[in-house]
Amino acid sequence: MNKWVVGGIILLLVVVGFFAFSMYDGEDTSLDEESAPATIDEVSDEQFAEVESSDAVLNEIDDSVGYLD
Amino acid sequence: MKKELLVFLVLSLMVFGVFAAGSSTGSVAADEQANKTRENADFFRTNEVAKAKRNCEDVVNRTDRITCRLDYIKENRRAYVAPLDSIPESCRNLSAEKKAACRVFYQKSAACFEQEGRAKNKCFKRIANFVRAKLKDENPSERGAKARDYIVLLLYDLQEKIEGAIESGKVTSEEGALAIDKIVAIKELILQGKSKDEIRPLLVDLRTTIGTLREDIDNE
Repeated sequence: MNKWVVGGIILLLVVVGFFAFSMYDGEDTSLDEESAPATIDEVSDEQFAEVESSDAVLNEIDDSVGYLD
Repeated sequence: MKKELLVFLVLSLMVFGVFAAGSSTGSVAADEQANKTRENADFFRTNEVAKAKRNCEDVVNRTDRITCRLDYIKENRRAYVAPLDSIPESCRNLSAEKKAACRVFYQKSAACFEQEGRAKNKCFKRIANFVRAKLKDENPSERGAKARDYIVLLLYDLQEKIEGAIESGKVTSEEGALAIDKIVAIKELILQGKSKDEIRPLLVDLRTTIGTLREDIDNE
């Protein structure tokens, strides 16, 4: 009898854990989709850098070159 | 006596009125003459400017073309605006198809240079087809192409700063030509699709050249 109770509790924990994990995973994905802007105009100006001095421009170029193929 | 005084006053007023009208007409005529002279001067100056620009665009050697444009900026203390039909310097060595696209890209970017700070950076990224604020957040499959366009615009911005410093007399056209020639060479490589390993050494060299002009460029 005790064996069945322990087995049942473990099974219940596994099922609850599975649902909790899948719910968390789903929520994360939907957040990502919601935050993805369709165009750059939807992104607030505050998120852009002020690249004004010649040093800042050169640093920005250096960083961007890292993404070239 | 009173009657004579009244007649004298009326006559005086009439004479003054005629004199005032005459001098006013004279001043209008003088203004018209001055305007005509100014228009003629503007007409001839515009023609000279157009001729000077056309001569710069027709120079065969790239470095000489750049020096010619910078000399124009130094002498006229105004920005060099290339003729409408001219090809931007870094687009000249591209294939016909790429050259047309490159020209359109430059034309589209012109509006960004009227902006400053974050708005200017956003404008550059809009022209380079960014969807997000940072390059690292862009789709990895499109990031390389967007980076190329963005770097070209940043180099163009650096070039504009140097030209501004020449215009205000803080940097000589010879010093400016050296830096801008290197900028144009890097832009050409980027537009030709060269790898980062080929571009990095030229950027190190450019940073050294800009280093000596930095204060003058940034305080412009």
